[in-house]
Amino acid sequence: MNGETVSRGYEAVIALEVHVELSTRTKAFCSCPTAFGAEPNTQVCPICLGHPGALPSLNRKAVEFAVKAALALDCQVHPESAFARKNYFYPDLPKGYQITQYDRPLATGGRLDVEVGAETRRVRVRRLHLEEDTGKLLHAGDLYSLVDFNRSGVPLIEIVSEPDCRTPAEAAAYLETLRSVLEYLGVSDVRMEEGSMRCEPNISLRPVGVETLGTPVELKNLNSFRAVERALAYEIERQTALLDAGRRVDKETRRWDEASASTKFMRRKEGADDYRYFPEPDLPPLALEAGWLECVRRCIPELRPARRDRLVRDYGLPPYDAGVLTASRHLADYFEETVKLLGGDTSGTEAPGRTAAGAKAVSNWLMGDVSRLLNEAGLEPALMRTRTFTLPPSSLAELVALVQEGTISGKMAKDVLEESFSGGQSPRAVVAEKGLSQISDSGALETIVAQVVEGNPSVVADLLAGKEKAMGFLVGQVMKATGGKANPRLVNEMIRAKAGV
Amino acid sequence: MKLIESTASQLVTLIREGEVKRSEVVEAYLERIAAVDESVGSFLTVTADRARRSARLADTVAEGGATPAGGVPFALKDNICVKDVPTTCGSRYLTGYRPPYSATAATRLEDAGFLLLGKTNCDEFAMGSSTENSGFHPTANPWDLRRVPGGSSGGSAAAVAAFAVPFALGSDTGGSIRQPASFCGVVGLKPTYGLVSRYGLVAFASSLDQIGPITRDVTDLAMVLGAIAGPDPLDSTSSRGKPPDYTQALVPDVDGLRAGIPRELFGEGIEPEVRQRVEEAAAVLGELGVEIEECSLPSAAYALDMYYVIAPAEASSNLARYDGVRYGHRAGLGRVTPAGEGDEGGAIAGAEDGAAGGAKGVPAAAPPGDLLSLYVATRREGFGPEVKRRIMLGTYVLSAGYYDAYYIKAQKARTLLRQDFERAFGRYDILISPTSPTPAFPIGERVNDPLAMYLADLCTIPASLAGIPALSVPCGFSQGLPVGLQIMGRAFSEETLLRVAFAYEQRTDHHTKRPPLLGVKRR
Amino acid sequence: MAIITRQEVEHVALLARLAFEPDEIERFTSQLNDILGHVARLDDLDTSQVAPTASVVAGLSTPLREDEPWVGPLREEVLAGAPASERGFYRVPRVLE
Repeated sequence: MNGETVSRGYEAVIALEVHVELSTRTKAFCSCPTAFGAEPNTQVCPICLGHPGALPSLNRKAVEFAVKAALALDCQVHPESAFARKNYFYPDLPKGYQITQYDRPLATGGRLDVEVGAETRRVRVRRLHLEEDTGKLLHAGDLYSLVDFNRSGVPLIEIVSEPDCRTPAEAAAYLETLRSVLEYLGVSDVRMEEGSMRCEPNISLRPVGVETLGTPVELKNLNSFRAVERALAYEIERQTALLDAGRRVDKETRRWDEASASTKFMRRKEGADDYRYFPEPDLPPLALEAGWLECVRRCIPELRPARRDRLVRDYGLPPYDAGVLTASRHLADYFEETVKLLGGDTSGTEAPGRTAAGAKAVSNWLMGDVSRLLNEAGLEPALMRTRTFTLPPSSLAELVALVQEGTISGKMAKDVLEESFSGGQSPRAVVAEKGLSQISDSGALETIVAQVVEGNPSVVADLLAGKEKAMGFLVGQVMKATGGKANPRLVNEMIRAKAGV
Repeated sequence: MKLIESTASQLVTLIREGEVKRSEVVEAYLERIAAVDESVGSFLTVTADRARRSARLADTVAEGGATPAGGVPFALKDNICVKDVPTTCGSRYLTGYRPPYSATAATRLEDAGFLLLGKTNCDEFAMGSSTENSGFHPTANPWDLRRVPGGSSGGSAAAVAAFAVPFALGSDTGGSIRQPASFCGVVGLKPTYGLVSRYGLVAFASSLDQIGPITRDVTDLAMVLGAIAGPDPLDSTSSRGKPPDYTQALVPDVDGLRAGIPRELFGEGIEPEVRQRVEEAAAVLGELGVEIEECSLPSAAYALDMYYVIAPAEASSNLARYDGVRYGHRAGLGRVTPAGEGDEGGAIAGAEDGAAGGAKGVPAAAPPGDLLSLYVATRREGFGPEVKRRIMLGTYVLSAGYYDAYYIKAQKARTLLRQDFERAFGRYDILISPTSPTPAFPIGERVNDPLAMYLADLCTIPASLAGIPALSVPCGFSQGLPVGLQIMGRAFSEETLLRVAFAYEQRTDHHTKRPPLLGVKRR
Repeated sequence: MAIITRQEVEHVALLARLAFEPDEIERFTSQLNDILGHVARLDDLDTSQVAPTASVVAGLSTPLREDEPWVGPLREEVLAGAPASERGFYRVPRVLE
């Protein structure tokens, strides 16, 4: 059901409203810190608590991040925009209104090109605006709810798409692409599981060929892209069944229930609540200078598609590798830094072709063992860039260099990697401490290789007859005799020479 | 007695020259408050300990040779936050509320060495023109205790008029500084919107509210304005430029200035004696060299209507935060106590405790079990009728289907009014009018007739809507009750207003008159 | 002719989280009608050529603040004035979703 546009004669029309928490240090309208994990109500002040007489003061960084996002989505950023009050009563809304943007948003008219399978679809962005987040409500038993205002006032951008998506897969792809763009910009952590990216899709069905839109249903409580996809697929089924039975789809808000894998009625949309929007009198209009906008535009980092292409071009990486490495900007940054350090390696010889080989080696390590170790430890790529990460780029560069030099074998390197990763020591230190240097001196190996070749004539005969498996056995014997420390490549060469292959 | 008859500026000099100690000044005023405030009812909280402590400290520092500034006590309208000092905004909802921070204007005064003596009574959340809407008790006009002091800054104006404090700050949204200043025979200024920070002023109508000084004469006004004006990063609507030294404007030279009298503010609603006093004032200005002629601000005839859409709309939103969740009243917790014996009027609490003696009787109900009931019961119990009326009006004019017809229409009309003023200031340096159509009316006369009450602001509202500065200076009496002259100017022309008011004051003696009822001798 | 009906007054009261006794509603409806009747005079003005006043301070744009955290008040201070609190949270009657 997921990939099909047409469901028994109906077309699904999906618009997505996404809220993104900006990773500024302070809140949108006050200087309270936004860092995660603080004790409840310890990151609050009279402003974000809505005390009498408090006034908002707009965070420059929040504006910068919002503008960056708007520019990256190809939006028209309006040189003048205005804030508005959205009025309603709720315990997590301290002022009884939210400061947002209504009829004069920061940006409109953008688009995002999204890869869905082999195709590229363009999804238009209707608008992007700045607003503040509410506090958090916790339910404590039947009688009470508890409120924490630490998140009250955290800056958000709201990104509304046009109803251009036609399938759940497209919607999920849009979200993935959007997430990637925002991550590359560095304006948000964009993790749905943590709530720094929230999605509320709107879905309606209409008979194929009909222009008029059907009744939209809004979906909430979606904590992952997967959930979005599944919820939309469910809705398509549900609405199809209703329409087929000649009944109407009601305009409502439905909640995704993970446990039953279904959507459940939550409330009538736009019922008695009249938000009474009016221009925020405490904030004059936001005027953005052309010069400043230009500056922000120039500071937009390379986004994923361009980076992917550049990794192929500059490092000679296969497109597949470039794709994997750029899945997260942090991983791509780590890759490039490692290769840079490798290139400036102190071994002294700078072979021009070495960069490509080195880059591939780094790529292989990252895609393979390093990713595995990260997954096992439950770590996100973002953490690779922190100062306390046990395997900084210098360590991985060192490891690759050690293998290239022949100091350790590739097999040994895996062990060294694990040691480094868990203990935090540099690979050279690990090798020195454990005496893992492999024997790469052919002189030292001459005797042993000669012994093994002379001691296994039948195997050597197999080898000469073309059975490559025999090589494995012979190399293994040398490795055993050297306690695993011989350089396998070198051993291989020496055996061939000795055996006369 | 003699000490309290000195103006604030005179006291600053006396203190600086070592003629009198701050502590003496504080005691003198505390004594005066004890003598008169039971009748006048200006104060909701008297911060005697705080004032005494600060005075003692500053006196000690002065003895050591340093010269700390100020030293003069002052009062703040109770909608201006001071950290840990009860701030009620004249509302039962905020009984016992102590802000976790101070308003910028309050901090600036205390940093300049002035001493907070107390918080004054006002109409609830600054909504009203008589201080009768206070959730605690009315304040009396020192000139006639059966009459209102005006509002909403009635407590501040009455305190200054009664010599209970040398100067006070009030707030003005539609006339709430100027009209009580006029009713009480003192000087009051609504500065240009944005000149004085609103941070810490409990919001009523955000695009109109301003804090301003209420003083006994124009010289004091210049001094106090200088202490509080200036940009504040905490208030995004505060203007950026550095203010001038307002005391330099106190030069009585107004020869050649042109003044217009808008006919819309001088029409039939103005009482005859008020009209006469203003005409006499115009004649004095004429003698001083000011050219005066009638002019017109056509849209000003509709100013009341604009105001009674815009102000309640903003207020309905600003007062939504009073929901019983984070501070103040919550239904069912019995915090709003019914009035008890001996709890009436005035609050000379020796200790800092204080917010106002008693609330009007409110029965404590069982705690509401659901959120909606909590909101509704809390707000029902906490707010008075005028506040509810304005919240209702404001919510209505912002609601779907009515927003364009009312709110947008009123904001467009406001643009017309601002254009009228701009045109007028193309020809005139200042505009003058009565501050209020009538002198102080009796307590109880208008409290049940909202529309009649609203008319008291007829002359003051236009300047508020336009954001321009406006000052009220005493210009005589009508049957023993003070009448005020309003002087308006272009944005940021406070120096011109001060100059004109100063020149006028030097030529007249209205500012030397004292309310006979309270026993302070005439000069 | 009533501009605002009793029903509308009740609806507005709900939006504003206020409630009234029947006689209060009567009184409010009447007073609001008086005020709205007066305010209707605004229709006399030709406002077709002007924009609504967006900001009274001409030429001012939103000042921007640097993204530097400050040290806020202690939680004890913050919760001291709270009508009801528990374990560092503000407490309200159960919110039903």
